[in-house]
This record gives sequence, C-alpha cells and structure tokens, in this order.
Amino acid sequence: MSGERLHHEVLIAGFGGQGVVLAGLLLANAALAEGREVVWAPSYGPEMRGGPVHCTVIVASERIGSPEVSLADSLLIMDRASLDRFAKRVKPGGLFVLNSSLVEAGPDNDTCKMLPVPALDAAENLGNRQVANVVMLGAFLERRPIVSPESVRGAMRVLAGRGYENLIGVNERALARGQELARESCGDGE
Amino acid sequence: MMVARGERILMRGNEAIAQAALDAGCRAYFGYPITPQNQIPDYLAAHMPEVGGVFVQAESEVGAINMVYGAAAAGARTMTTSSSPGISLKQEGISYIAESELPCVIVNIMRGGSGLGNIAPAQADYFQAVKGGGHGDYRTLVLAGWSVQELYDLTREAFDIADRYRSPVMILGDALMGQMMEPVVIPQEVVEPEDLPAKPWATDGAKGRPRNIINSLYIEAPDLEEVNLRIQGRYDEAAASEVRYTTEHLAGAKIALVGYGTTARISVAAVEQGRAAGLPVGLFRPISLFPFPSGQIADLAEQVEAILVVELSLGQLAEDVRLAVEGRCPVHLYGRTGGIVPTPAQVLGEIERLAAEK
Amino acid sequence: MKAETETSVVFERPRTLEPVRMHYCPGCTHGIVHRLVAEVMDEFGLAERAVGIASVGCAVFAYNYFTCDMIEASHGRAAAVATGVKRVRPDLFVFTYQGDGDLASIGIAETIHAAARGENISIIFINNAVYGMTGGQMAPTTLPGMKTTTTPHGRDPKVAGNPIRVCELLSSLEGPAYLARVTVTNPRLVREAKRAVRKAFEAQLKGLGFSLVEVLSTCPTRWGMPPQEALSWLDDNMVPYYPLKEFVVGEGLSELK
Repeated sequence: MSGERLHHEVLIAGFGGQGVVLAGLLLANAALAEGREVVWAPSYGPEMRGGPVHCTVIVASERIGSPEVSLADSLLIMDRASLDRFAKRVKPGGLFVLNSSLVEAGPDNDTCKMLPVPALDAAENLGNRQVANVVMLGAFLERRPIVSPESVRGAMRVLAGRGYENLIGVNERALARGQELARESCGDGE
Repeated sequence: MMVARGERILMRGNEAIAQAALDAGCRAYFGYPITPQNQIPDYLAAHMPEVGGVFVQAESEVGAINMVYGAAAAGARTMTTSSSPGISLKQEGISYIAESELPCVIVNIMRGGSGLGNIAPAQADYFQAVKGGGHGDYRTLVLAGWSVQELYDLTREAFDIADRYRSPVMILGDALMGQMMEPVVIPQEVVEPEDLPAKPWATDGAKGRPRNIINSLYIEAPDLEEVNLRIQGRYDEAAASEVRYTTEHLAGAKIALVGYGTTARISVAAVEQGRAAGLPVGLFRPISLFPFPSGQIADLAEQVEAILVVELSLGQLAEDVRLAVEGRCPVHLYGRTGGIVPTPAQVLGEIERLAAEK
Repeated sequence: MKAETETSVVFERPRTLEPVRMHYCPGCTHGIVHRLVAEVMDEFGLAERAVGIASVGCAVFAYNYFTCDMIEASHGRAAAVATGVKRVRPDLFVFTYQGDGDLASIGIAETIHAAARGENISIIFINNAVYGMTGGQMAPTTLPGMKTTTTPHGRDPKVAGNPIRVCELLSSLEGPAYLARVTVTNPRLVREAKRAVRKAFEAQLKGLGFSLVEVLSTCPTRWGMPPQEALSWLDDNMVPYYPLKEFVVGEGLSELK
C-alpha cells in the first residue's frame, strides 16, 4: 500500500443502528495501522436514536488539508433516505456502494460507478443483521483497496475491546462475504 | 483505562483536549453539557477520578466558571469547557478571573451562532475571545489549533501560559476540530517546566503568612487603574514572547491567505491546489489569536499584492488583519457563517478571482 | 493597707476579626453576625486554614474584616466559588457570607445546587428583607406589604410575587446537614445564633455536608427607622413570617451544645 500517492474520501450514511459510525471507525483504524494519514468525522446532527447518521473518512498518504469531505470519492449508502440525501455528494467518476437489500435503485448519475451489495440479506445469512455495515465495507475495499482486509481485521480487535470479542468472528465473515459479493457483482463498479 | 502513550492513536479533538488537561496536571474540571464539546466532560468524568482529580458537573455555565474561579484562587490548575452559547454565559466569571489575576484554561468548541444557532462548525466567537468577551479592560490569551495533535499540545501548554501570565487562557476550536478523529501521539512523559512561578497569592489558608485576598473590587479609581495597567503589562509581555503562527508556501506568493483552525486546513488544501495550477499563493496561519501576530502580518503585507482572509465568520479575523496591514495591501474577505464550512474548491475560486483581477 | 486591684480580660475583639472600622450603618446587625462568625472561628482555631467568600451586597467588603484568606465572589456565585475551593482543598474550612439578594435572588441556583450536592461548606445568610447596598429595593425576602423603593406602595404579591423562605425551601433536599434560622435582636437570641453558627461550622468540620444559618437582620437605614425600633419591627413582622428554628440537624450534631 505504500509508495503510491493516495487520497481517498469516503462518506458512509444510513440510519442509527446500522453501524455507520463503526464502519467508519474500522476504516479509520485500519488506515492508522497502515501508517496513513486519516481523518474521521461524524455528522453534526442532534442526537436521535434511529435518526439519520453519517460519517466521513479521509485516508491519505500525505498530510490531509481540509478535514471536511465535500464531494466523496466513494459513498457507502445503507438506506434509501441516505441515497436521497447524499446522491450529489460525490465526485465525477466516484463509486456508490449501495445496500441493495434496502435501496432498490441507484441514483440517476451517468458518470458514477454503482456497486449494489445485498448487505442486509448477507448479514442475515451470517446470522447477525448488525454486520451489514461490515459486508458493505468488505465490498467497498474489494473495489477500492485503500486499506487491506488484514488491517480491518486488526481494527476489529482494537475496537471490539471490552466484552465484544465474541463478535469478531461474525464480523470477519461479513468482511469476507462483502469482498465475495463485490467480486461476483455484475455492477459497473469496474 | 489509560490512554496509550508514545504511539499514533486515533482521538477526537475533544478527547485530546481532555487528555491534555490531565497531562498538564489539571486536577479540577467544572463544566456543563453542551454540544459539540460533550466528549470533554465525558472523558474527564471517566478519567479525572483515576488521577485523584475533581470533576463536577455544575448547575450551569455560570456555576462552572465560578467553581473555576474558586479552584484557581485556591491555587489549583483548573479548566472549564463549553461551546458558544455557554461561553457567553461564562463571560462574567471570566472577567472576574482576569481582573483577580487568576490562571485557568477555558475551551470554546465554537458552533454556529448567534443565539441558539446550530451545532455545526463556526468561528464566530472570534471577537468575543480576543477582544475581552466580558465587561472591563481585560483580554484572554487565545490559542487556536488546526489538528487534533495541535489541540493536545496547545491545551497542555495553555496551563503553563496561564500560570506565567496569571491570566485565563482560551483554546478556540470548533465543532469539526472537536469531534473529528485524527492520529495523535500522546507523549510518554510530560515534564512540567521548571521555571513556573509559585503561587504565593493563593487563598489556601493564611498559615505563617499574612492573609491573601482574591478580589476584583477597587473602589478607588487610582487603585483599579494600577491593577489594570499591571495586567496590561502582562499582555505586552505576551505580545513579545507568545506570538505563534505558521506559514505555508509563502515564498514567492503574491496572494496570501490568512486563516486559523479549520479554515486554515481548508485554505492549505486550496493553496496546494492553486500552486499545482501555477497560482502564486500561500497561507499565513495565526496560532495565537491574542496576542495577534500583527507585526508578522504587516511584514507579509509588504511582500504580497493582496491578502485573502478565510474565516467561518463575517469579517472578524479580517478586522484584526486589516488593523495589522494598515493599508499596505488590499485585504479581502471570504467569510462563511451559520455553520457552513466552505470547500477548498470554493476558496480556490476566490483565489482565482483575485488573481484574475490583477 | 494597700488597695489591690485584680484585673482580667472578660471581653475582647475576636482574633479572627481585623482591628478595623467597619463600613456598616449604625444599628445594622451585620457587625454582630461578623463577630459571631469570628468568635466561632477562634473557638475552633480555624483562621489559619479558613477561606471566606464575600459576596455582593452590603457585605461586599467582608474580605476586609476577617483575618483569614478571603475571596470576593461575583453577585450570587459565592456557593459556586466555595465549591471550587472546597473541592480542590477539602482540608480548608470554607464559608460564604451572603445577603438575601445575592443568595436567594440572583444566586438561588448556585445556592440550591450547592445544597443539593451536599457541598461541605458553610453559608451565613443575612436576611434583612431589602437590598441595602443599592438603595433599598425589593429583596426576594421582602415581606408582603413592605415598602421598598421598587415597591413604593408596599409589596403586592400579585404583582411582585411572594417572599422565599430559604430554609424551608432547602429543607426538602437531601444535601443539607444543618439548616437553621436565627436572629440577633436580643442577647438571648444572639447566644442562640452563635450556637447555630457553631453547629453549622462543626457540620463542615465533621464532613457532614452543606450547612446554612439564616440570620434575620435589621436594616434601619433602608427600613427608615431607628435601630431599636428596627429590632422590634423585625421581632413583630419578620419572625412570624420566617419562624426561628432548626430545620435540619444532621446526625452527630444534635448532641452539640
């Protein structure tokens, strides 16, 4: 991962409880472990359970200027409402990773690449609806390997911390399943 | 759980500020919840007891700043933190603390204003921070960082500066700086400077010495003027030795951007894009907002053809820049307000427009 | 045979009171209460480890009168300032000295919350039902019907609200270890007032929590009457509205004399 110049801005959006913040933290911690520059930033909305939530992660090889993501290189969209909110917050040629279990159609955008991932269905098949976020992250990283899956697995151990070690296994399977789904996808991701 | 030291870790700006206070030996925190700075009291509520310190959630911002006044009077290193509306409430207490010549640290994680405003990033409390804020003839020494690491470093140092100048020191951040996470290295060991002044003035029991009185009431005008002049003298000292700033790409620049904190980050991105496109542009970033790097900005105005101030407010920083420039070159403003954070592309657009005017 | 005269000191200025002339008006009872506080501090030997918090009102210069370390608080914030001192230095003895406007109007939040937290501080609360320092305006404790410069026809509760009974208000809280209302209108009551101050200070010294002594006081100047008449007016008008009693006596205090 080193040597090449990297600056990738990711926006992850969904509703409270979908693990939006955690997906961003996994990505940020993985980037940290790889010695990258990284900024993770949350949305500024008032606190509301189940309400809309998003976060941004910038992973870069050089010093990061603006910590605010205006137009993302990649969007991970967990639900329909978030697609409506953030459809325009993308650079030309950017990548949409869509949770196709909840988002039927992509945005009306000719320049961007679409990667539909039935993340919630995949998570349910893995026996834990909560890991749809990690399925999405796995699919995203398969297409845009800005950090390695090993680093994400390491980040799971960092973040699981106290009392959640038992969830690492299912999250690892979710990450791998996301990668598989991206490889199998006929979307125009690449 | 104590923080991992000596290695890169991810931390929110707010958490780094809280850890910096602990590392500076602050053992007394008083605060009141307000977004977007709540990670500071949350962090200290968890960790202050581990080091035997005092954490009190006060009944109000007013209560909190007056607890700081009491703790500082008793000689403790003490801090309160808040966000814009809460800082307004603290102003009376800050005025008393300043006039009573007490050291303390106050953090303002600014949000959109005026009024209740919103909880998005803003820099609209600049005037309040650097011009005094409360009633009377005082200032607070003000430092603004542009990264989580710098917020940590400046907050830690703020306690030393407060002790040296017997003055409240304010750390200015904003909703983005406070809530974002970045890599930060918390040092293995924090060494307190050896030359910190003692506090013989503290009200900590008049044992074996005459009583101490902490006070800001001087009925006789000559007495009050004497105190105010003494305090002003410290500001003059600070102006001579505490001015801080950094520059980026100023060599050969014809247009200089001036911004602090978040807007400096956005501006440096715009400057780098501009340089890549062949535009002669650079950045001057004040870190100490009071004392303000006026002399350095005056020198800068001799070198460049124009200055563009970028701020999350409508001409507050620009006013101090204009006072420093004294007409040596045109000073333009790109100010956004209400919680709007401009993009580097928007700032670049302003740079291009200025460059085209020439 | 030579006449021998034995002399002994039977009365002197408390050591904790500075030998200075006070600024209080003739007939004002602040002086008596200052003396009681100083006497009790002498008896407990507190002067070298005490921090007093003066407030805004007629007692704004109280920091000039006690020999211990003193802090002047802003209007209403004495309990918060005392909290700051006591939390960082629990070994110090911390008291505030506040009037009714300071404590029960602008500072009622600080007062209630310090009491609710059970801050281990002691408050001397002077209730004279009027703003003395600013010229005789209505206080939160001004009696219904009482004339002040801002209730020139007498306090009408329908317009100007009702007085606050501070001890009764605070006695619903769990934090106070000692709450009492006293007055100083005759020598017997002065002795009782001193006992209350003793108990309040002892409550702090024993770490029992918040203590407050409300002292009904006179303001002959703003009440517009001679001192002796003011004392009688207080007995006849204030005491019926503000009953003299101990409201809270924490465990371990009741046996104290």
